[in-house]
Amino acid sequence: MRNREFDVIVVGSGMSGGYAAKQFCEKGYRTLVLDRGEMVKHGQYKTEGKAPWQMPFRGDVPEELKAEQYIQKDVYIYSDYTRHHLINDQDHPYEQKRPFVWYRGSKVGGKSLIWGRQSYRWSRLDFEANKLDGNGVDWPVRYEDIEPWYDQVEPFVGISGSYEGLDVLPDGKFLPAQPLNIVERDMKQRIERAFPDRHFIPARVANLTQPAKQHLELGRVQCQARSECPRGCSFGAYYSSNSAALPAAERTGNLTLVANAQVQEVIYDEASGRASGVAYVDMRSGERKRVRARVVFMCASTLASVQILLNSKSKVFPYGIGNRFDVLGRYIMDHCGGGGASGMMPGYLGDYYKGRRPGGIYIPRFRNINETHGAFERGYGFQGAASRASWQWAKSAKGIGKAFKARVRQPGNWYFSMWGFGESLPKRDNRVYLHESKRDQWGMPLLVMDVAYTSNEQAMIRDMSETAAEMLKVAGLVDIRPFEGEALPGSAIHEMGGACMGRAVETSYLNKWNQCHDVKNLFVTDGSAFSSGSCVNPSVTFMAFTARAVDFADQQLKQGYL
Amino acid sequence: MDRRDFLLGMSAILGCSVPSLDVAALESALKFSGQSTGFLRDIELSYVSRIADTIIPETDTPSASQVGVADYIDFYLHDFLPARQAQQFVLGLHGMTGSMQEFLTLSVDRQLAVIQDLDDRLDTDQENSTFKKLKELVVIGYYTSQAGATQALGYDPIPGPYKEIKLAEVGRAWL
Repeated sequence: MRNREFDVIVVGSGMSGGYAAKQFCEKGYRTLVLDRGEMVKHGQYKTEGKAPWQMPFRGDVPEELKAEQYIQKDVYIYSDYTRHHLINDQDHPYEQKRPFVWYRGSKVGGKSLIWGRQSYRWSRLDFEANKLDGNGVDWPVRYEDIEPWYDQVEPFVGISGSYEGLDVLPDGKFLPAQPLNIVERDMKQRIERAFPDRHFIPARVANLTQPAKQHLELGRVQCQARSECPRGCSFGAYYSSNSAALPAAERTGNLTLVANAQVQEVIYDEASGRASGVAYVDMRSGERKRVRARVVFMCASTLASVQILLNSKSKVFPYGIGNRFDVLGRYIMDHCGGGGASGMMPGYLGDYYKGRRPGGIYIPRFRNINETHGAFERGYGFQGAASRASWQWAKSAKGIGKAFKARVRQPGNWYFSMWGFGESLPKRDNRVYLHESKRDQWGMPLLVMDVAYTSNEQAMIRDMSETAAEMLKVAGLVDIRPFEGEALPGSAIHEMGGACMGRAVETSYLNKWNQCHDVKNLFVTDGSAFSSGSCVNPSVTFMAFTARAVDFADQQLKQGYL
Repeated sequence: MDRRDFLLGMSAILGCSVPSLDVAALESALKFSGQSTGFLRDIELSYVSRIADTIIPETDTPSASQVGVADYIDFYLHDFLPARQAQQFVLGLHGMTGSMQEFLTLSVDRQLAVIQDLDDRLDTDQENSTFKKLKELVVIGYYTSQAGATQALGYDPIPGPYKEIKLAEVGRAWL
């Protein structure tokens, strides 16, 4: 690569980076995407479609392999089918001053390959929350600023959902919703009758229920309900960078994608007061390279972007590029969880289903909206699903012989389970920073995690558990089991914050255009830009902010400001 | 119809090409051979097979041993479990009902009674931990085998959109 070959460098190719690349390429910019992961081309998913008997351990992972992934082994999707899409922890260590689980993708496309695909708009309330209760830094934007960009992103992603007209969970541009099953429909009636402010709706998921022209043009077709998404899907039926954004970028002819490239530093040019490019390591050869461009977009994932920015040291910025006021790495958030309940729904034994649905139900936030809950600030939503037990129960059940075999052959009772995702408060002391001496094998300083939940999150998790049990009782379930587990920060895989947006350079890292206050051609558009966390899944909002920032950068470039 | 034909046919059914579908890559992945590793000795394989068939006997669908559950367990012990745990498990097998040879010469009814007793003691103070593990392996080995998944249960690799049906339409649980 010759110097000045590129207009734009995008660091990372996941939810944010993939979309940034697409947008820049479609606008005619020569775009370089650098990703630490190994290349995986759409369609080359080595465990896709494999039956359990084609897997040596029927999907289970031996201990010695788990040892290489001592953090990743606890991700809810971890199995022999998916582990190659997750990072090797021995190669990519980090320090936990306080416990933090850091789940990371290992491939180009990042976590877009393995995400849960739940896609919800944030609400007015979410963008006003910091201002209203005084936690964190006030967002420099409001819902109205982001709304048009959701309108742009959602049809490209392809999100199924129902139109509900709720303030707390704005409707988007949806494909037909995934159906609720008969048990869920009856639960919906009973719960909504008993609690008029709670809504039991189909989960909004990025799986194509009815592909549109722009999906078909990329070879993306209808979801086949295999429920194998994290293995990769040749049908392109769920959204990933690999199936959608990167192919869309590639067909413009403007994309250059380099895999196995660990970006270590954004280079600051003192003369111009701008970022001149980035420095990276080819992880296979060890060769160190520098590459220049007019604009740099950081989309490396929340914590990795912060890590790179902190490591971008210069005479002007000894504590990381654009970090004059010790704002970088602060206000780290994740969704708190671990509270919920499950139970058995009697009856419905003649009813069944065909296919493995990619999403269940969602109950949007209802706490601290019209009335104030005394024990905590902000709120949470529930995800859940009803399904019938299958053979797995038999592993640890009593019974032998023909009667046992006949019993296993029939589906068991209907069970419903739901679990909460809560908004954690942005706290300045919840931070990450670089270790002063430890580095990884490529020379990158390790990130130190110093993040913990407070009594607000603990009270919220307790309420999730009690409230879930109360709703299941109303819905007619029996044998209700509330749970209130300890979910460490990081475990919801919704890391946000660290390079927050705000109005002033003294208190925030980015302005309202995701632009570094002090370095105008440096943008950060992944979750690190977020000043608060909402309680809904963030990916589609990462993309909406990315779309908006690309549009702004494009205008600035055209007007000669960048 | 094999998988290749299925996927190619699928793209025709869906009315568009699936250009990214790399059929060769899909087909090239490994396949478990299903042969014994030789970790378990013949007597041990026979013993495990007999117990597996007591738990999951032949009916209108194959028995556990007919679908290769003993070989699966042998493979699991040899290639999956750390050696020390595998050896402990085999020791446990030898102590589970006394002499394996003797057990194998019992009448089928007597064998059933012995296994029934072990099964009744699950989840009690007298639980035999080797039997607990063995039963788990038999159940996994059987229902994730090709015959177990497709004949005893319903296996639907590409179901198409999720839809509600009556149980009577399929008559059994999905894998």
